[in-house]
Amino acid sequence: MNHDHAAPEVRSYLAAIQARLAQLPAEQSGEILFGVREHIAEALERGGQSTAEILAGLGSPDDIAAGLAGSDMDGSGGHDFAKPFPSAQFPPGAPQKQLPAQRHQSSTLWVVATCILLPFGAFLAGIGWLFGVAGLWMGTRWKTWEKIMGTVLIPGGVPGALLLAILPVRQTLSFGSPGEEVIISDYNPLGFSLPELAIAVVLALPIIVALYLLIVGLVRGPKQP
Amino acid sequence: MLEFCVYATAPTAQKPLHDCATQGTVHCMVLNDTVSTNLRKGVLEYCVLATIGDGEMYGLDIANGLQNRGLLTSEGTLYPLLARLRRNGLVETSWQESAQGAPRRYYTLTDTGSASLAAFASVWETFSASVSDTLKSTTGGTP
Repeated sequence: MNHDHAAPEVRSYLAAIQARLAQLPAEQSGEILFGVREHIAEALERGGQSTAEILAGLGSPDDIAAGLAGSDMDGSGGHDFAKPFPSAQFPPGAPQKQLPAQRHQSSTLWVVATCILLPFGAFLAGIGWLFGVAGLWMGTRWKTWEKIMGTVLIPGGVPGALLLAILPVRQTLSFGSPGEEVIISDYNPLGFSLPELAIAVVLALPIIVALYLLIVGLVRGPKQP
Repeated sequence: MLEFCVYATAPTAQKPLHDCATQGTVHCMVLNDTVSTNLRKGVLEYCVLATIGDGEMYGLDIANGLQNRGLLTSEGTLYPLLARLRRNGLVETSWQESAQGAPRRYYTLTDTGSASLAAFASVWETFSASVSDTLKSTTGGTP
């Protein structure tokens, strides 16, 4: 709904509300502003009230901002960043404003880059995985438990898993003096040995988890926090 | 629901009505406003749910309905509340084309919203009866 053609007092009224809702996520303030805009447009279409009367009935921008605080005081709502925001809140084609940083962090590119950096980032000078973890936690399309899973189950990504799998072998070869190596095939500094199946699982886990994060990230789309 | 009861009763309980008698009429009027504002805050969301009821309601009509009943002093405060009710899954919205061309947003109750409203209505009946009884029983003691 474009109201650029609206009366100057309506524009300044809406701008004043927008300024008072600045602390909210863009989607939330957009939803509230859309409701107020619709209210004004519909009331004008029905007639019988001047613009000034309609704005007076709505209350001051401060009243609306105070109503927001009041509606949050019961503890059942508030600035809930974790709840999804269905796309049904805006009509097809309606512009949805997002802050530039939020737009990047909820973008498909962000999701794909994060899901590549998590399993394979450690190949990049060993620190790429850390960028993957940062991307995961800054991203807006994953739930908290998924972020924890992505961090805990992919320590170092595939290289980390590889290290874990070959560590016992390297330790076995380092034993004994030249010519008198003591072969202790079971020896493992971690205190347990990994059968081949377990090695396969350890290697596959980061990729499976990254694939899961990629799929849910892409399915949720840019509007889902 | 319990939150509602605690929230709605606390402000009135902490500011006893006999203040009116001791502090004068002006203070009493201010107190009336405070009491009424605090009470509204507690019940407004359920009044919104009740106004929507089984139908599909347009934002402006919900606002007008509540204001005509004196439950909403500033109609604009409805929209942050509707946004929260939707985020909490108590109402949902749908878009319908209007004669003017721009799609309109209509509000309906979800199953959770209907259940929440029914639970509130049940608590409210008992609660309001208790408050009325209490007020009646203490009237004799107030000068």
